[in-house]
Amino acid sequence: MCLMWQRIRFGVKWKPAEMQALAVRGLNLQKVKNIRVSFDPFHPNNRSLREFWAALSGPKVKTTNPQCLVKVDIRNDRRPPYFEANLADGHRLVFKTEHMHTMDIAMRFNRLLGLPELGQPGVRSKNAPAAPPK
Amino acid sequence: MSLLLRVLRVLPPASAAQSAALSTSTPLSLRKIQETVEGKTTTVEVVDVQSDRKQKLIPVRDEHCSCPLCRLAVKVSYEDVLILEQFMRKDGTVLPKQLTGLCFGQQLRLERCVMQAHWCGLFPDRTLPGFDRTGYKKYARYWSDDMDMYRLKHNVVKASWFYVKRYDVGKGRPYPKIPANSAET
Repeated sequence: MCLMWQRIRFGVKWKPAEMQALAVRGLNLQKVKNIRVSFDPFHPNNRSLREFWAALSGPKVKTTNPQCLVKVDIRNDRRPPYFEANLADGHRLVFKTEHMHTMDIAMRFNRLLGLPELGQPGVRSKNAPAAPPK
Repeated sequence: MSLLLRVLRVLPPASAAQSAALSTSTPLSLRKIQETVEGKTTTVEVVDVQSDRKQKLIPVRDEHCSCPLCRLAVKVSYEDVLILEQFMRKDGTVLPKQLTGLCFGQQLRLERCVMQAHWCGLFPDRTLPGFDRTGYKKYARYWSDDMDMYRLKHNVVKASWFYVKRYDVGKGRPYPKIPANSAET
């Protein structure tokens, strides 16, 4: 019809996966001592936390801090999922992820760690470690 | 995609995944991410947003669809600018279904109505500067329905044989009538 219609049709797309991938690229666990992921696999809203757990277990993220311990607590109590992160400076982050998207978790986690919310887009070399925090 | 990224960045409270159709307790199907700091512990959770105009919200009824426009029981048209702009961005485009909380059909209807409103010039500050107003589009436009953009009407001009061959079609039956405005068409 015209360019305005194209803009409207383009604007109604919602693809959080791209932002999610960028935010996961920006993950850096240098300031994190340990993380405890806790969820009930039968809870309906645990998908985002499972995806975030998968992101934490990626090889590039692991190399940012091999000493960071990710413990997983799989419960059977139908309670909402959450994860706790103990930071090296003594602070503690608790994320109750029941209605959060993976993108939101990763971006908010990066922001609370003082990192840029999104990582660098583009191709990265095969053997280089993840980009250091700015 | 860059446009969408920018827009979603502007909307951190609404970018939380919403299951708007499932909410029955809160009339306002909006959630936001809340950070609470207690000593050295920071808690991040998603809370329901309570509206400050609770009396004016449309109540949820037990129907097949609980999206706001289905509950409204009024067919939204392009003239309802104040309703339409609640689902729009600053640049005149429509927010995605996941953020508006509308059902599939109402979302498409909304997009069409917004497009019609742009065409009528009801959003002069939000329309694209290069909006196509060539030819017939430069005139004011009125719509009776949201699907009118797709219903093409052909203006049929009668040929000369319609007026020339006017013979008696049978006993008691009149001659074919010439429409009153036929001279103009």
